[in-house]
Amino acid sequence: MFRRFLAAVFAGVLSLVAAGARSAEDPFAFDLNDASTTESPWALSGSVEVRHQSYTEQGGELSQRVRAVFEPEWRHGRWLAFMQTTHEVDAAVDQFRAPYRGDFLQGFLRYDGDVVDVTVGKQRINWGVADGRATIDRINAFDLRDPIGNARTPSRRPSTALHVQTDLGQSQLEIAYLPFGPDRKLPEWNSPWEPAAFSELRQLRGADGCQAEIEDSTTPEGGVRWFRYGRGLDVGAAVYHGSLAAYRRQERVTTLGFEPVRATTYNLSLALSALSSSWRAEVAYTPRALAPNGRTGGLQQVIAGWDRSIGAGTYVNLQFYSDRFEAGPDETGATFAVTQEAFDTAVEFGFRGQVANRGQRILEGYADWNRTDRLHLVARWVGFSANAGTALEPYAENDFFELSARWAF
Amino acid sequence: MTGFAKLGGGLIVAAVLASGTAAAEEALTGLQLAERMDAVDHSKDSERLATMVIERGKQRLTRRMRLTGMKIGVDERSLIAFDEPADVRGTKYLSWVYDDPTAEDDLWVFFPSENLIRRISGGGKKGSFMRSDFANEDIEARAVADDTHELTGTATLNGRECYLLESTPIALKAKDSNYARRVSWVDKETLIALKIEFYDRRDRLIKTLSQGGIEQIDGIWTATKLIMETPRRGSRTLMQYSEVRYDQGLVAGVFDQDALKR
Repeated sequence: MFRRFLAAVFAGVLSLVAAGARSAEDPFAFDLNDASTTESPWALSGSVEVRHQSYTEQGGELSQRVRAVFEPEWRHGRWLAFMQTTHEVDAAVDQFRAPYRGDFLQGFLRYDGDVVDVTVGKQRINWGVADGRATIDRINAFDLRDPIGNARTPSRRPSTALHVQTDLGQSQLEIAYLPFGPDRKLPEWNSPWEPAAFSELRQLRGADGCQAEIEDSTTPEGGVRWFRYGRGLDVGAAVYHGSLAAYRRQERVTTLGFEPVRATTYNLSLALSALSSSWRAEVAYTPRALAPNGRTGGLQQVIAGWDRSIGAGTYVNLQFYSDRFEAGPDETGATFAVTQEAFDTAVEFGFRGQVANRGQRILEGYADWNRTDRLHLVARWVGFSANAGTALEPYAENDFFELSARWAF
Repeated sequence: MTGFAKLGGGLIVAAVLASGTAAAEEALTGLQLAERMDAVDHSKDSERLATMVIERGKQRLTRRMRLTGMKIGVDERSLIAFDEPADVRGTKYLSWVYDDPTAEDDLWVFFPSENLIRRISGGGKKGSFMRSDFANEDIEARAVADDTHELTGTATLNGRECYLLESTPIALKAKDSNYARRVSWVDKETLIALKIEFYDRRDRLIKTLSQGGIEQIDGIWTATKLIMETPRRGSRTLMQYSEVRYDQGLVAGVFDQDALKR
């Protein structure tokens, strides 16, 4: 009896050891599902960024900024409410503005219907297919206070708009109406990004009783876009009437100043996939555009681009553009980017920029390190060169080196 | 995250191989086995949540995404919507994957911060999927015709009887692949590949995929846990599926570009 008992205990111990060993060896004995995750209609995300920019030629600090971005979001059924605000303190800008600046970048309510999607509020509406430049994106105005997104892409600001999109089956139709015009922000007086013409005008203020001003358009504007996504090819057409990213000099009896130019632009675009690459093209015509010499006339624009991922982690993007002014000198050039991933894709480095006629060049070399999913470190150098009288001339001495760290939540 | 390949479809179907009848071992060819593995997923559409954890040294990176897929004839459409990490939340990838190996797949990505839908090229199949050990090509819906298949024998893996299947990319597909060949341990009962070894052009083993957590969901055998290991980098990626649902009656409109903004 006792021997049978011992044998049973021994067998039990053996089976427990064996079961334990199997469990320890089971590579699938993991559970990645976070039981604490709850479905809430509310979400808050954002980031905190520390950015230091130093002039590389003239010396000194271009920016010493700490910025917090808050993005609360609410989703319920077909409804979405989203807001994006920024709060920043920049210790290097006290020569031309107060260090603190708050910005209400986006705030909109969207209803996703079966037939029509409607979005009301301050929002980004992206029209066009090209990279770096756009012939029809007049909704998101350039942020001239801090204009360099990267060396080939300018910073743009969302605008207050009513946006309606309807599905036509094989295609989509969009209507955008901006009751107050685009949310344009002009560079501050004596800011490093201030165009010379603005600076001269601002110096006239108060001198000899002269009234000088730069007008900001708040006139309603809008446009219509049709787009079709399909097998191998996306095509679109759009028309937009509103402010151009150009200012006309005005000399009135009592006032000297600049006012934004309003015009209609007609656009065709296509994007296609072939030869393991994406090919993008836009053509546009603006009958009454402002040429660089200040004259008004037709503007024909063409953008043609190619981009491709090559191998493991290499990406190349090249876009050529031509702006042909009937009343002034043409502008032709290219934007480019070559990037490479490294260190198990934790680091992306490369260069990007744009070149244009009349000696206009912006070049950027950068390295972007995803230290963790939340912590992001960037080092980059951006250099400018341009001949006198060109759009890039005011930036010619603004070459800078930047180190930044961003923590996302 | 530039250069995405056929995403989603593979995540949805690669681990979903229904059992059906056991294969007739004696007369089976590699191509027939591959076709049976491909044919046993009889769902028209599927939805699931995926959680991915990348273990790399002391780092542990987490990604969460919702995967939706649908078959339209012999072609497939899929949508991936990312919930984590925070800086890609709301980013979506839409792919229309064609069975014809000569046809280029259509891929679009939606960036919520820019409210931008952008067509992208399929040239980045060799690249890493969300910094994981999975390459974009590992998770794509791979057509049977993309490879030649050879049944090289049988073996036992973790007590399961398996076919050994060797798959080699056809010339047209080889240039877009990290791998010169893949060796699969295919469970004879469920026709799920329990293990896949990936070899480069120098015939070096570069990665190993293990699939487990196998259960029958809506009548379809499904591997709910995946482990992709890269020994040379000392890293591995764990993937777990949850809330898996098949044949929910999805309509094609779910895979239109309009849906990317929803």
